Amino acid sequence: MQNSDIDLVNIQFQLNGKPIRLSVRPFDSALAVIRDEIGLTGTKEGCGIGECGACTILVDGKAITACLMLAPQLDGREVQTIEGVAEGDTLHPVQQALLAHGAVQCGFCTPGMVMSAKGLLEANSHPTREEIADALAGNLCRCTGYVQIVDAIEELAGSPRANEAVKR
Amino acid sequence: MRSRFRYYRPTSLSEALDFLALHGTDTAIVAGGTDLMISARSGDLQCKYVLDVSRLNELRPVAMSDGLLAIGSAVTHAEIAAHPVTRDVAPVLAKAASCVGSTQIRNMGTIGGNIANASPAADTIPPLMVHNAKIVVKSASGERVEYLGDFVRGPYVTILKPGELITHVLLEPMMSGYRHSFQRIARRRALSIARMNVAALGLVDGNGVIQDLRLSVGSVTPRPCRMTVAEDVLTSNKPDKKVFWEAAEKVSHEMVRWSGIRPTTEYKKPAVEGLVYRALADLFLSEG
Amino acid sequence: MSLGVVRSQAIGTSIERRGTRARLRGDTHFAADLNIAGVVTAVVLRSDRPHALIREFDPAAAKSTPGYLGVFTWRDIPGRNRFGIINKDQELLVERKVRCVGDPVALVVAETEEAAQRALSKIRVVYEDLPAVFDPEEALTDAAPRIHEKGNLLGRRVVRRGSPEEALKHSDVVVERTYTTSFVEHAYLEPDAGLAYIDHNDILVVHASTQNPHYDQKDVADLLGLPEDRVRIIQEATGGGFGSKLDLNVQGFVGLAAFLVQRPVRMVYSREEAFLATAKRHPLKIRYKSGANRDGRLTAVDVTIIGDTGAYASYGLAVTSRAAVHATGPYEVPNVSVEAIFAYTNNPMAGAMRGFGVPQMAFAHESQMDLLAAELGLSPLEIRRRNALRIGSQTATGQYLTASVGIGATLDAVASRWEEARVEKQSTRAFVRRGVGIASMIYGIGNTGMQNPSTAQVELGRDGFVTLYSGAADIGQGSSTVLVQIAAEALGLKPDAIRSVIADTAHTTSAGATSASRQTYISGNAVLDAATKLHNVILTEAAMMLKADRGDLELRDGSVFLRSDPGKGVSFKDIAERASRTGLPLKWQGYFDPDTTPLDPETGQGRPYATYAFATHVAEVEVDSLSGEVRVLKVTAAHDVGRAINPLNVQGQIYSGVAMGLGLALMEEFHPGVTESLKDYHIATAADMPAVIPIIVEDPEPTGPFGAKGVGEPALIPTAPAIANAVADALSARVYNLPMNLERVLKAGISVRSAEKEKSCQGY
Repeated sequence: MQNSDIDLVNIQFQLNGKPIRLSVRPFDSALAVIRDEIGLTGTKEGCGIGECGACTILVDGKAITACLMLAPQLDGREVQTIEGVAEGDTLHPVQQALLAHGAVQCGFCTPGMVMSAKGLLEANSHPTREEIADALAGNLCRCTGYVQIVDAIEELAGSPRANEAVKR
Repeated sequence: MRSRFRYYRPTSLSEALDFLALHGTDTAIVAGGTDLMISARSGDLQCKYVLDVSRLNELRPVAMSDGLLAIGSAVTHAEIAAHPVTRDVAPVLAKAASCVGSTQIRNMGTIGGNIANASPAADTIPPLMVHNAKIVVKSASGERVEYLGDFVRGPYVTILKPGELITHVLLEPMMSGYRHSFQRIARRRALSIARMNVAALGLVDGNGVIQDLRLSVGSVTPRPCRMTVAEDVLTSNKPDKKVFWEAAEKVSHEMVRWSGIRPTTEYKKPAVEGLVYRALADLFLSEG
Repeated sequence: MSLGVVRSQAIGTSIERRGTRARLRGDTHFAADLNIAGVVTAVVLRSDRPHALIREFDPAAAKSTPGYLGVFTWRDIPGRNRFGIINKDQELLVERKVRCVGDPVALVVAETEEAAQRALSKIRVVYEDLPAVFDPEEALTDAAPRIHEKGNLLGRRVVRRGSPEEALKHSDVVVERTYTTSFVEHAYLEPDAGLAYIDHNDILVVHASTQNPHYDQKDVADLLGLPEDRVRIIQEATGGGFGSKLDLNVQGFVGLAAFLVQRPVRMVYSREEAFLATAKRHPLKIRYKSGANRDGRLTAVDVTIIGDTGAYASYGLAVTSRAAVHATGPYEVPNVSVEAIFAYTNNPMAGAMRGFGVPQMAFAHESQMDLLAAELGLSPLEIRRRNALRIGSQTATGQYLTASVGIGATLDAVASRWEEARVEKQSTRAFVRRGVGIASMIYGIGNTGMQNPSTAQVELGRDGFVTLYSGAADIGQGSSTVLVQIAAEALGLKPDAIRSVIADTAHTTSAGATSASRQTYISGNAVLDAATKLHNVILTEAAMMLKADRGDLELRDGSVFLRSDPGKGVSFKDIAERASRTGLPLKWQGYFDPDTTPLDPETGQGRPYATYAFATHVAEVEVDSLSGEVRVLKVTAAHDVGRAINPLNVQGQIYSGVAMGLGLALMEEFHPGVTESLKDYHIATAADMPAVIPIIVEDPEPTGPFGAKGVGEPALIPTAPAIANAVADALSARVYNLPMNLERVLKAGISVRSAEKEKSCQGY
C-alpha cells in the first residue's frame, strides 16, 4: 500500500517553542513522525511499547512516551523534545547536573531521562530522592545504575537552580 | 506490520456517539493509547477507524454529583492520583493509580481505558470494586449503567457493545471513619504489571468491632469480584491477626475454587493469603 | 622505554567523559539515527522453528510488493557463509536447516521498512521439523538429535591440581550443593542497528553499533569474499553492549544487502528482534563440593559445570574456560577438580555477557563459603579473610600471584559496614526479615590463556596537536576518555588538548574486542607504549633544540621546559615543524599483549591472565515472607582496580554493576520461546536501586598503565551472590537458583512465615 491510499491528517503544534504544520499518516506514532518526518533523532526508540522511556517527550509539560501516542494526537499541543532543552550552547540545568555527576554512559537513555527529569521539576521543583527515583522509574538505563542520575537531580532539586530549571 | 486505520477526533460527546452509531463495529477507541498503540504496532489491531476521545471535556470531570464521585473515562491515572477530590473520597483508588506503570504511563493511560481493556491485573479495578463502582456507558440511542463486576465478563472481555462508549465511572465515596489499603506484589518496584493486588476499605465502630469491610483482589479471579466470603469472616469481629488469616485463607480458597489448581497456584495461594493479610494488617493495625 | 618527567594531572582525575555534552543534547548519532540519500531497508526472515529442515522456500509472492528490491538467501552470499568469533559455526543465512527459533532464513530488501516487512510476510517457507533438544545434559546423550555435524559438545575445560578426592575425604567439613542460573538478556538500551553503502572508492562502509569493529571487518569481508581492505567498519555511538555486540549482528546483513542491491541499506532491530536474535548469558548448572578444616581453611573443591550455549558457540568456549578457571573464587585452594562441559542445544545462542560465566560461578562459590562458615561457626567475613589470595599465593591454575592482590584490602574496606549492618539488621515489621550478605570475587583481565594484543597510535601533528588513534570501541563505559587520559599523562598534556580517532577500521588498528574488562589494561598499555615513544622523540628533539640535557627537561601543557630555567622551553608545535623538515616520524605505534601462557588441556594449569581484579560487596536486604519480595537496601562495594584513572567513571561502573547484579539476583530470566520484549523481561529501574556505597581500593598493578587494571565486569560479579547470602541470612534458608524471584523466595521463606504466623496468632 502506498501513501497515496492514505488519508493524511493535517496537524499543527508547537515544537520546541516554534509552530509546526505537517501532514501525518493517521496510524503512525508521534515517535515515528518526530524521528522520521521531522528528523529530530534525539528522541530514541528502545522498545516501541512504552516499557523503556527512551522516547520520552514533554507534551503540555507532561512526560509521555512518544511511541504510545498517535501522531495526530500531537495536534494543538505544546511539544518539547530533547533538541529544545538547551539554549544554544548553554546546557539546561538538568543537563548540566547530569554532566557534573558523570551520569551519562552510553547516552541512549539520556535524552528521555532529561525529559523525565525536566517534567518532574516543572511539576515539583523540590522533590525528595524517592520522588525522583519514582519519576525516573519509567526510563530504563542499563549502563549507569541510575545512582549518579538521581544524585544529579537531587542536588539540583535542593539548590536554588531548581527554580531556574523550572522556568526554562 | 503496523495496523492501518483512519483517525477521527470528535469535538463533542454527541459527535463521538454519532460517529460510533455509524461506524461502531469498525472503530477502536483511543484515549491514552497505552494499550491501543501496542496492538497497532504489532498489527493485531484490526479496525477502519480510531476515534480519539482523549480531549472530550465530557469525559474529563472529577467531581461529586448526587452523592457519588464521578470520574470521566478520559481522566488519566496521574490526574486521579493527584486530584484532591479522589484523594479525599477515594484514596485507595488514588493510591492504586499512583502505582500504575510509570510516570509516562500514568500521564497517558486513563481509567476508562483500564476498564475497557479489562486486564485481570489492572491496578484500578480492585479499588473500583470496593467503591461499588458503576460504569456509565453511552451510545447514540441512550445510556446504561452497569456495576463493574457485571461489566467485565472475563480477562479482556467486557459487555461494551459496538457503538457504545464508557463516559464515566461512579463511585460511592469513602465515608468518614473508614480506613483504606491498597497492596500489590510485582516483580519490580515500578514499570511492572501487578502479580496480584488488593484493595480494602474498613470501618470499625466505637466498640472496636468491624462494621463494614470491603475487599477485592486482582489477578486471582477471571473477573472482578468482591471477596464476600472473606468480608463475612471479618465483619462483626474485632480486628485480630487470627481473623485476618482466616479471611486470607477464604480468599485463597475462593481463588482455587474459581481457577482450579494450576502450576502457578503453588505461589499464588500463599502469596494471595500474605497479601490479604498485609492489607488487613495495614488497614487496622498500622499507625495513622 | 620509560617516561621522562611530565607534569600532568590527567590520571586519577574525573574529567568529563568524551561526547557527553552531545549525548545530553540529543545530538549524538547512533546507527539508527543515520540517514543518507537513497537509503533502503533490509529485514530478516527468521525461523519460527527450533530445529527444522527447510524443505521449500518460495519468495515469488513477495516480488510484487511495491518497493520490493530483493529477497536473498545463502545462495546469494558471494563469500564464505560462515562466521563466529571463536568457532565459525554460524551461517549468515541458513543453508539447509534452522537450529533455533530466530535463525535467519532470508534477507529482504525494500525501499522502506514497511515494504520490506510486507514482502517478508509473503514469503512461503516449508519446514520439516526435526526432534529438538533444549537441555544441555540431554543434548550430550547418544539419543539426542545432532545439532551440528561435529556433534553437540561445544567444549570442555578441566582444571586440576593436588588430590581433591583425597583432600575432601579428610576434610573436617564438606558441603555439596547444586546451583542453577537462567538465560539472561543483555537488554542494552539501543537495539542493534547499522547502515552500509559502497563509497566512491568502491569500499563497503558499514556504520554499526558494535563492540568489535576490527573483528566485524574480518567476518564481513569473508562473508562477501572481499579483501579486508575493501571493507570499512565505523563504530557509531553504541548504546551499550555488555557482550552481545561482540557478535556480528546486523553488520553482515547490511553489508550483504548493500553489496547486492548497490544502494545504501539500513537495518534496525526492533526490541523483539534484539531479544530473539542476539546472544544471551549462559545458563549454568553447577554442582559444587567444597571442603574445609576446623581452622577455616579450604582444603579442596570439586566442581562440575554444565553450560548451555544454545544453537551456536559465539563466545561459549571463552565462557567454558573462564567459568572453570574462576570456579575457586578469590581463594587459595590447594586441591582442585573442576570440569566445565558446554553443549549445543536448540535454545537461543548464548555468548559473552559481562563476566563470561564468572557471575554465575561467584553465585555458587560464594554461597558455598557461607555454608562452610556456618558449618565451622565462623563469620562469613572471617572465612573469606582466612582463605583470601595474597601475594605469593597460587591460583587454581598454579599461577603465583606476585603483585596487586587486593582481595584482602576489599574485605577490610567493607568490614566496618558489615559489622554495623549485622547489628542494625533488626526488622521492626512482622513477616519482614532483614539480612546481610557478603560476597567476593576475582576476575582475570583479558582473554583466557591466549594472546589478545592491542595496538594504538599517538601522533604529534604539524599544528602541535596530539591525536590518539585507537580501535577500542567505547560502548558507554568510557574507554575513549580513559585512553586519552593515559596519553595525556605520558605527554604532559591536558586531556582536552588531545584529539582522538576511535574505532574506524580505515584509521585505526585493532585494539581487540571491548570485552573481558581489557581496554583499560591492555589498550591502555598500548596507548602508553605509543605515547612513551612519542614522548621520547619529543624529548630528544627538544634536547637538541634547547641544547639541554634530557634529564633537565619537563613536558608540560604542550611544551618542553628546562627544569633548571623554567622560563625557557620549546613548544610541541615547534618540535613538530622541525621534525617534519627533518623527516622524523611523529606517529608512533604502541603494542601490548598481556603476559599469559595457554592452559594445559589436561590439567588447566598455566598463567591465563597477567593480572586480576578483586572485589567484595556487602548487601543489606529486606525480605517479605508474605509475598517473596526482596528489597535491596544498601550495597557497599569495594573494588581493587589497581589505579582509578577516572574515579567518577569507576564509580559509574560500580553503580552499573550493582544494578545489573541486582537484576541477575532477583528478576532477570529469559525463557526461550516465551520472553519477547521489555514487557516481560524486567531489569532494575531507578526505584529498585539501593543506596550504593562505592569504595575504590587501589593496589597498583606494576604492569598496568599507571597501575590500572579493570572494573567493567568485576562491578557486576559480587552483587548477586551478596544478595543471595543476604536473603539466606534473612530467611535462614537458601535459594540455589537465580533469579531469586518471588516464587523461589516465598518458598524459601515459608518457615519464617509460619513462625511469624504462629507468633501473630498467639494470645488471641
